[in-house]
Amino acid sequence: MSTIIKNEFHKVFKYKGIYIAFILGLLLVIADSLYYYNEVYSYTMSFSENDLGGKTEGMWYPPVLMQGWIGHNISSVYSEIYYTIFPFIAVLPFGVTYYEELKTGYLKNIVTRVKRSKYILAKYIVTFVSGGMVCAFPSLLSAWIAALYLPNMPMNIASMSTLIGNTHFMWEIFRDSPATYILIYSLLAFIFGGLMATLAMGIAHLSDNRFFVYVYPFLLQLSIDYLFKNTKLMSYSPANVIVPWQPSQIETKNVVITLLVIALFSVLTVLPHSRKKDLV
Amino acid sequence: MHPAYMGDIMKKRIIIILTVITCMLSVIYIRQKELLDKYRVRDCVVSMDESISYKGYDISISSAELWDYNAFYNSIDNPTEDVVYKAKQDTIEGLDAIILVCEMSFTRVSDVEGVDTIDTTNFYVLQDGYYKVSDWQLFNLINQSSYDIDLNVGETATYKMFFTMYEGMVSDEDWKKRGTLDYMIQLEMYPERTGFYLEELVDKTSNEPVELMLTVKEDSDEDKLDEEDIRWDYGDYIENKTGGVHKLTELPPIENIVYSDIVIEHTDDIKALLERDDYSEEYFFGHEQFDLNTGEIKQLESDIERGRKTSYYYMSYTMENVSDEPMIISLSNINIVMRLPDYWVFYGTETSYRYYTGEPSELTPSQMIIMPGEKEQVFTLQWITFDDSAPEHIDEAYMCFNPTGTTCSLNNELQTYGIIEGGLDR
Repeated sequence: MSTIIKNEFHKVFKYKGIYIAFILGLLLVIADSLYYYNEVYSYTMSFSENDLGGKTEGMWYPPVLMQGWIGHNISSVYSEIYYTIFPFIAVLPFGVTYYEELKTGYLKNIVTRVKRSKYILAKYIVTFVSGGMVCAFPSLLSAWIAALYLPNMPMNIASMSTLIGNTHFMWEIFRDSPATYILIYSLLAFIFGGLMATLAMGIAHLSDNRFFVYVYPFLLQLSIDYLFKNTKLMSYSPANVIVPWQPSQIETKNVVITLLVIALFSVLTVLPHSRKKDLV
Repeated sequence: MHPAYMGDIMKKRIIIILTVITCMLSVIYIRQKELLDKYRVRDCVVSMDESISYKGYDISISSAELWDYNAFYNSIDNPTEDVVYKAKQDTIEGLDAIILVCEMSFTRVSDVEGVDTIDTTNFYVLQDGYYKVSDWQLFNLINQSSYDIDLNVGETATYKMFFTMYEGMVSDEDWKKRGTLDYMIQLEMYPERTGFYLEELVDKTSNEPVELMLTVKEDSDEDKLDEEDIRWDYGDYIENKTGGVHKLTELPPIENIVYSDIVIEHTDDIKALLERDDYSEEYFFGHEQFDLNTGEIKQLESDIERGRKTSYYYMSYTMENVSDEPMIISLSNINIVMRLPDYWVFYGTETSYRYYTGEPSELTPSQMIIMPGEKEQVFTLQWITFDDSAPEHIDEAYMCFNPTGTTCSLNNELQTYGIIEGGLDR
C-alpha cells in the first residue's frame, strides 16, 4: 500500500498541475500582500505617525497580522478570487489523473498487479493530500509574508474592520490568538481543498470531457452557494464556510456538518470505483 | 524507477522542504520578536504617575482608582465621599464589575499650537505589557469622552473619567486569573476644534425648535459660521420662543448640580412599552432601512446574511428640573447597562441603540435645556440590537447620561444615573 502511495506521490510532482496551482496561489498571495501593504498598511502607518506624536508620545493601534492575511483581507479582490476558485485550484495537481488513467486504459494495467480497492484508496489519499496542499499553501504563505511586517497581536475589535463577533465560529480564538486562528483555517483549507479534489475523482467515470472534471467541484460549489443564498442553509454553503472572515455568520456546527457532508459525498462517489469492475 | 530509489528521492525532498520551513519559521520568530517589542506598550502608556508632553501641555494622570461597581452605584443615592472611597480596591479580584476612575491633569506649559479638544475614547486593557484589546469592549467611557481645554500658560485643569467594565463577556476563569488590571488610555487631541455642535434645541412647551442667537467673538469670522454648524459655547446666548434669554455663562457651576436636581421617572409599565409595535416610520440605521411596524428589513441583505436578529426596546423617561437654575441635559452619551438573570451585559455602543424623543420619528437633540421647574417631555429610547445575544429577560437596566453641557465647564466630571428598576421582559 505504501509503495502505491509513494508511486502516486511521485506522479504528482511529474504533472504540471501542481506547479500551476502553486504558481497561481503564489501570484494571488503576492498581489494580495502588495495591495494590503500599499493601500492599507502604508496609509495607516503614515496616518499614525502624523498624529499624536507617533512613535514617542503615543500611537494608534497598529495594523496586525490578521488584517494582512489573505483570509481576512476583506477589501482585497485577490482574497475574493482565491476563495472563489478554491475548488479549481484543488483539482489542478492530481484531480484529473484518475480520469485520464480511466480513459486511456492505464488503470487496467494497474489493477492486474495490485488490488483495485487498494489502488483507489491510495489514489484517493494522494489526491486529497495534493489538493489540500495547494489550497493551504496560499493561506500559509500569506500569513508568513504578513508576519514579516505585522505583529501577531489581537485585532482592534473596536476598529470595525472585522465582521467576526462574539457569536461567530472560533470567536474566542480569533480574539485571543490570531495565529492559531490562521493555522486552524489553513488546516480547514487543507481539508476542504483535499475533499474538493477527491470530488473530481468521483465524477471521472461519468464524464467524457477532461475539462469538465477540472471544473466540476468549482461548479458544484457555485451551484450550492447559489441555491443556498438567502436561505437558512446559507451557513452550510462551502463557499461561505471556507472563508475565514466569515461573510456569512457561521458556527462550529456549520463547519462540521458541511465537512461531513462533503466527505460523505466524496466517499460515496469514489467508493463504487473500488468495487465495480465494469468501470475499467 | 525503482521504488527504493524513489523513496530516497522523496526523503531528500522532504528534508529540503523541512529545511525551508524551518528557515521560514526562524525568520518569522526573529521578526515577530522585533515587531512585538516595537509595539510593546512602553512610551505610549499613560498610566499612573506618568506624564507626557504634547503641543504645549503637560498631561498627567495623577490618580487612578478601581471602584467596586456595586458600591459605586449604591453611592449614587447617597453620594458621600466616605461611601465612594470605602469601596476603593487595589485589585480586581472578587469584583463583579468595576468602574475605573482616572483623574487627568492638563497643564499649559507653553503657548505653542494650542490644543482645544481632547478625546479620550480609546481605552485599552493590557496584559503582560501587550494590548489586550478584546477587553476594550468591556470598557466604556461613561462620562463625556471629549473635553474642551482652553487654558492660559501656567494654568491647570483636572478631569475625571469613568470607565466601566462588566463581567460576563469574558469567561470567569479568564477574569479570575487576571487579578490585576493594566490599562492604557489613548488621548486623542484635536487642535483648534472647540465646542460641540448643537443640532437642534427644542422648546419644551411648544415642541418647536428654539432659535439661537449667538454672540460672536470679535476675532471670529461671522461669515464662516454655517447655520447648521453653530457652535454653542461660553458667552453664547440662547433665546427661546417665550422671549427668555439665557447666557450660558450664567449656568450653574457643575459642582452645584447634584443628582437630586433631576427627577427621573420611568413609566410604570415598561413591559407594555417594550412590546409596543405601533411604530410605522421607516428608520435609517446607517445605510440600512427598517420598517419597524412590520419588522421587515427592506434593504438589509448584508445583515440577513450574517444571520443577525433584531430586537427593539422602548423605554420612556420623564425628567424634571427641580433646581433653581436652568439645566443642560446632554443625551449624547447614553449608555444602557442591563443585568440579565445570570450576568451583566452592557450595551453602550452607538451601533446598538438609538434614542428618540417626543414624536417617535424625531431624533433627540444631543443637548437640551430644562428650565427651572420645567418637566422635560418624555423621551423614548429605542434600542436595537443585531445579534443573538439580545436578551430574553432583563432584571435591571441602568441608564447613564451626562447632565451637563460639556462646553460649560472645565470641571466636567459629574455623572447622573437614572436607574430603572424592576424586571423587563422582552
